[in-house]
Amino acid sequence: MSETTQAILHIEGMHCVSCALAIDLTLEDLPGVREARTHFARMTTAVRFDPREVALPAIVAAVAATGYTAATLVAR
Amino acid sequence: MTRRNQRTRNTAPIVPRQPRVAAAAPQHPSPLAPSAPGRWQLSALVTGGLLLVALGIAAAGWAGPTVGADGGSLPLIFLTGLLAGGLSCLAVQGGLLATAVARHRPSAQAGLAALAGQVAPLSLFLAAKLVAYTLLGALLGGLGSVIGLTPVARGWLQIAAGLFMLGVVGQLLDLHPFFRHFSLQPPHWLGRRIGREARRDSLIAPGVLGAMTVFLPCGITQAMMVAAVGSGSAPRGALIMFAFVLGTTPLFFALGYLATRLGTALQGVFHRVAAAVVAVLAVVSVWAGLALVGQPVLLGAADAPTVAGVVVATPGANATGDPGGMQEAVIRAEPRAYTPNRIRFSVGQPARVRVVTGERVGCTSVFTIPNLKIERAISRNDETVVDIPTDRPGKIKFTCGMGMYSGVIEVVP
Repeated sequence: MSETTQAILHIEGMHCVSCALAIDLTLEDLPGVREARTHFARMTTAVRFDPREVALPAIVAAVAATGYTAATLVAR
Repeated sequence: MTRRNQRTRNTAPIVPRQPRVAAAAPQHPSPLAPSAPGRWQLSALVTGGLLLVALGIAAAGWAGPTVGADGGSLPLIFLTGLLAGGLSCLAVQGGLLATAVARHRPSAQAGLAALAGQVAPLSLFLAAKLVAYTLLGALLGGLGSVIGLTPVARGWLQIAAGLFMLGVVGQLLDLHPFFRHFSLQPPHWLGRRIGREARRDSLIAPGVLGAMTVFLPCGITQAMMVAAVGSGSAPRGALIMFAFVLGTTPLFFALGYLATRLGTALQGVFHRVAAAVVAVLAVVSVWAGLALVGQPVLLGAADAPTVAGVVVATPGANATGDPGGMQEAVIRAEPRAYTPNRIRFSVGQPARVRVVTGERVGCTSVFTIPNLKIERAISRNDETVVDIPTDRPGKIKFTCGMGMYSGVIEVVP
């Protein structure tokens, strides 16, 4: 069983719940990302990933690639 | 394949694999830039145009309710879908729609052939959506009938729907992050399921996707869902949702494909236009709701411009005097008014109103006296007689089933 890391990202640029859905699906397609939960109203994404497979900057970049801005709030 | 497309392929699954659509995915970020006066002007122009069209249609009598007992608001609901629903719902469901179209585009074809290739999945998507929402409306209307809503409770629901719509306006205009809470986010597992469905390569996928949009209702749709519950009957709830989603369909059809390419500029305009139309609807909904719960001030204001004459119903004067001294007044329930809408009775003598319908009926055919818990549905060319208590002086308000048209019965010494 591999160790996973959790991070909370602050997301700017969402304007509907389907934006939140798009981010979740984008991140969960990344190798190493176990789960992503974006909350539209709170403007956050909670992402759980395996740091040996994917790095946090790559996750932030993936969000940016879909057209939103992400900043790391918490990583542990 | 360019590097950008390659990357988008991997990272934007909701609009995947088709470079042209994928390139349009960043339309989702809010394009609202308050510093762009050009967009505001364009928004104002489009809104004004749409409202003019709506007024024109209403003036031409098309919106005149003729669809039977309490179905009178259906054309209005259709217009709501047409003018506001399409714009706002496209923002929420646009990604799914783009996927539904994109998955089945024969990539080798161009021009008309490619267009034809899109019409089939688009039609399937929209038809499934229409069916799903109609069923949802029946369910919600049935729920309303089970819990047996009184006119007053329905009034409160309408007020709630109106306030919710104002929240949606705040969200559309990005006024404050608080307004983001005026949205229903589907549970995570369901969202994931919808996303996976969007990427399945099957012929019926666009249909499944269209039906699944019931789980992604936009703000105005949610307000209509409240209205469906408030209708208190499964067929009426189904009709409400059917009319609304049917109204949103032309825009979805026309722009479903185009919108993916319009980029961010028009999306911003869409939001402001939708916000303006929803704001109008919100005010109408709250106003009608207040009439249903018997709010006196607004009712008085509503009477003023529509007074068609005062009937004084006393045994000796205008009223048809029964032997027992019954006071009676006849109210004609016209499609868009009660005539007269001010009735006067003397205190202490028995009184009744005879509400008469003609060939054309609207929501006025559901005659409601909220404070007396009276609600009578009258068929075409029919009448109902309602006894009015005259044991003490006061004002008794009456209104149609939707709270849109009202009047007052005064009991005077």
